[in-house]
Amino acid sequence: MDINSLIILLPLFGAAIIGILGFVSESFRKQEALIGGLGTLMVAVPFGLILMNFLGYHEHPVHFRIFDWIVSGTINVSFGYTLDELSLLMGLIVTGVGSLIHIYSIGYMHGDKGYYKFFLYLNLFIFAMLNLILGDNMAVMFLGWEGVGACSYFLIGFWYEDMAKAAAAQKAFVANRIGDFAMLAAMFLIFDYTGKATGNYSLNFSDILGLDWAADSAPTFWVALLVFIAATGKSAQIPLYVWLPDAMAGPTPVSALIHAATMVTSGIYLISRLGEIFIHAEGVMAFIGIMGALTALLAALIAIAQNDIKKVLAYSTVSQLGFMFMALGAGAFTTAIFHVMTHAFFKACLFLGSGSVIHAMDHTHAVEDGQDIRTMGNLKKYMPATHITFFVSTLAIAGIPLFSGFFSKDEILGKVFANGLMGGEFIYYLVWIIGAFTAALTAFYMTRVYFLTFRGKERFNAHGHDPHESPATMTIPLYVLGFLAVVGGFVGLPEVFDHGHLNWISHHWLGHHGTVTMEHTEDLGHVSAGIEWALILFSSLIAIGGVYFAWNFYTKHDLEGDTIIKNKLGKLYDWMGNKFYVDELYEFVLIKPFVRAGTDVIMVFDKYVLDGIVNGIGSLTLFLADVFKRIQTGYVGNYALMIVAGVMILLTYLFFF
Amino acid sequence: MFNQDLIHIIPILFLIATGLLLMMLDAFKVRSVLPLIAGIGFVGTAVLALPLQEGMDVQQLAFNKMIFTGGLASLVTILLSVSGLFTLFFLSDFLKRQEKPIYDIYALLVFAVVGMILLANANDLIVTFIGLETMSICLYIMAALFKRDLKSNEAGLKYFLLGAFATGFFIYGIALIYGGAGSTNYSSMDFARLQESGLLLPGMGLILIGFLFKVSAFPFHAWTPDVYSGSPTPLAGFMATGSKAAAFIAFGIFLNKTLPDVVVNEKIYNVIGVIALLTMIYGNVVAVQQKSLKRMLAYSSIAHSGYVLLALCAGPEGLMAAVFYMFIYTLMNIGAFGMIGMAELKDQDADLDGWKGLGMRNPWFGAAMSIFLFSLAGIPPLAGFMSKYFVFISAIHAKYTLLAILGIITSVAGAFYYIRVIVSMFFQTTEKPVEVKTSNIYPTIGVGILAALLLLFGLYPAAFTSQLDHLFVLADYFTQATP
Repeated sequence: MDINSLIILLPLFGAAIIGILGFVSESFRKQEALIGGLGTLMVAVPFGLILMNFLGYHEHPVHFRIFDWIVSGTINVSFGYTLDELSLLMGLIVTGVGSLIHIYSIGYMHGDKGYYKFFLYLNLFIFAMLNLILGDNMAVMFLGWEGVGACSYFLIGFWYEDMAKAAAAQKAFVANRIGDFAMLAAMFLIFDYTGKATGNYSLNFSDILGLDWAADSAPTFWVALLVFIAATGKSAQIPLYVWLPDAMAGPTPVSALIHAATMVTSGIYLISRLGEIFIHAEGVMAFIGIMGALTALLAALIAIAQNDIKKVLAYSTVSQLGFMFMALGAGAFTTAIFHVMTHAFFKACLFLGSGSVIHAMDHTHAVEDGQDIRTMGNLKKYMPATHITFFVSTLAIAGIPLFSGFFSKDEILGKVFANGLMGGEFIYYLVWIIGAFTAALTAFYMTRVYFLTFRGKERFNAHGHDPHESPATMTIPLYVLGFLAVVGGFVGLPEVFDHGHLNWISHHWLGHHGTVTMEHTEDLGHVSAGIEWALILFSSLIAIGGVYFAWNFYTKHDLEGDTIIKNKLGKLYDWMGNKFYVDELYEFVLIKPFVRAGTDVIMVFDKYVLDGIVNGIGSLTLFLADVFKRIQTGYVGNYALMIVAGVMILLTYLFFF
Repeated sequence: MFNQDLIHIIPILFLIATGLLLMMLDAFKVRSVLPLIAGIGFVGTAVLALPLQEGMDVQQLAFNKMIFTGGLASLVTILLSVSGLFTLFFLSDFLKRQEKPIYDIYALLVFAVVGMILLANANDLIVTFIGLETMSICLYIMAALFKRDLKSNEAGLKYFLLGAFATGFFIYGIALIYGGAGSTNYSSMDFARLQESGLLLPGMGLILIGFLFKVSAFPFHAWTPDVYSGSPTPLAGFMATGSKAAAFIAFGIFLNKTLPDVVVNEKIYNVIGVIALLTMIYGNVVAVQQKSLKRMLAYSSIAHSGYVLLALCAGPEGLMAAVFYMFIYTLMNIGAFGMIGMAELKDQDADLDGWKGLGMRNPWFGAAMSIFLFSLAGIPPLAGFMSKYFVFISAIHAKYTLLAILGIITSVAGAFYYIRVIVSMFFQTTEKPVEVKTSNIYPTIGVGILAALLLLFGLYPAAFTSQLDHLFVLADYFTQATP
């Protein structure tokens, strides 16, 4: 077996060992260091293997196969995997950030009675996620897709004794199901199309992308649209984003790993993987761009008026995912993946930082809700490590120049603008305007949450139980991620420098061999250097402006600032605070009618029609059985007679009919 | 090339030698090693049949084209040895607990498998017949093994009388075919002459009846429930799997060797199709009413015969599906019968009532039995699902779509009585519970291996089917096989 198989198998093995030992052995469950260490190792070793492949990469994708799963006629679905530029990069993010978060969890989950289960699910999640991104065919990808959904469900509802948390898990599951349905439909279409086009039914990515996806043909359109709908579920876009904020019910490392860094970006990965199809579906591309922009804006507006630190970060995740979809809509697949990467660094760091804060606040026993930023303030004094990493990550997400988020976000806005300018599509200007505005909002609300948490007045009374810095297993991952959040952007320097040749990620890695389709702005030609510089300057200004304004504003007013904004915005602020009543709208438009239909129509149908049929078949079977039983008299003579009768009938048929 | 011929049938010779050795050891009262020797015999046969040598994976004919060797024949030999081997796992413990110290059974078991291998690998109707009778006579004695037990006696006598009756039809059919075609060998039958002579239909019809009796198809099934419920339980499992597998494979070879060359094949396929449907319906419907677990499994085995018959309608692809089906069926049914035997008390029939709550009292037992039952019901991800899938898909490819749909419906109805046992085991209680007290570890090992195999082949059927594909391609089974 190929040594690379261990990348896939080790996390599964870890989950199995932890699960089985934890299930059967009481004493094993108490061995926190052993469980945590084992779980981390089962992710860290795959990380090393992927890193080796990455460093030794020689322009040719590496394929490995664990076994053929279904072989039927010409159809061959195997557990086959490809390590190419895109999957290696995603793999590094997943296992790298994954390892750090495993280490962090050793400290964070300390003392939890479900400790072993947590690591079991985390390892299982990594296994599923690796199937999703490394799988060389859509069937394995889909297994991973469903697998991460299931793990996400387990982990959101990890503290399932709390009904609200169990309900949040269910909500995530149902929202994802809608997307998964679209995913299945897309797979059926692709399967059908490959068969019709080549006579060889296949779900392998190489076969799919080798086809001629004619521009604006019906299959191209539908596949692109359905894959996008599937992505709105997993990657939390309008209209299916509602599950992600509720998903914060899970333990914070889960929010960092699954609901910020990895799983929620799988929709972006898939669209990039299938970029060859999407660039031929221009209508869908514009739609993706505008949906991304609207999601980004909506989520940023909501984030301004939230007081729960994790809720702010959750909405900011939705908003940043919106940015990635803007890039996808502009055909800038490499840029979207670039933002996936930088976002994984700074958002994971922010979430882990918030986890550290929550840990500390809960420990003081001075506050009712350890996640409410209104009862925090001045934590800088108590938690220097958490503070500094949170601070640089805030600057990164706000898009302050030279921090990682700046490069990727600037590239997104630049690509969107170039699409409007060179392609002449008006809609992209609109996307760009919304994007730029949202970037300013991002700088504002992230500075607000940083400020209210770590600076300003101390708004809690600790009674001697001062909040304290978290243990080293928690701060070390913070430092690593914080460092990456600062420098991670330099792999993608803007195009103005040396015509993009210094942009490693787009030019030398992802786009180099056509693994990821290069943006179609390439075909349109380059925008002039002057406009490029203007755009860079502009995005720097909005980021710095947003941060500067928020900094001054909250230094001056502290928590009162929120009241001032509320008075200024009036009704709009209420709407933002109440998340634009989207949940209520869904409740009213979708859930209530569904429940109504379920109780009033389907129940009745079920009771009288379906049960009638089922019971009818049951009665018929019993009746027949009663009749047939009489044949079985127990007398050999009767049996022989039956044989003779059978012979007569059989021969009569053969001779005379 | 006499020597070459002997080399070809080494697996069979090895098994026969094992059987003779077992008889000698029994005569000299060296009895404690008998199960072990028999086990070594089965394993050795399977290993010798493995296509290890170059060219052994190619289908060949030996002894004047009388018998198939290599290729698919090897696979079938392995399948039948496996059925004997796993029966062994349950047998010694069962006999000990029933306080019936009987030692001839090991030689009988070995000789029965010899008969099965001959039956399933025959290229000549005479060899088919010899194999069939060798197997059947062993089975008659097995049914009547407990000679002071009335039910066992009844089972043996019924099996023998009806079997002899059906054999009459079978041998008469062979005679008629010989009269028409001038040969009993598939490779040298003169089908043109056979058709002209007018002996084709009666000959085919009678041989058909012989096979249909052996696979207990409706309306030739009536012996099945009485015989299985009267026989010692692990041996009933053996009868339901190994003997049926051999008969089905011989049946499939017979159909595929003769039918493509004759004009009436439509009619024959119609007959088999209708009988398949009736068998599925009958088996599943009556199984619902059964209280005794052994009788329930007997009717279930009738229903399963219906599915395999459906596959036989579907030509070479169907035969492949049938081989896979019988392999999986062998694993799960020996397991199910074996576990019923494990929970059986002395002189007492296994009853559904006694099993209530068994799964809660003995979770591992309940879990393993549930695997077998779910697999029998055809529920994924167990192997029983994949085997049913291959059967139905082959029927659909052969344009028997309606039959396939009806078959799927009956299999859904059939799931009821398997799951009822699981429900009883886990969700009900009783005042007279049975306990599982095995006298040695072997049944447990057997159950573990079987359950693991069912999971493996359910999740990864390609492990087996790709091998099957390979063998069928190499064997070029239905066109020409040269010696």
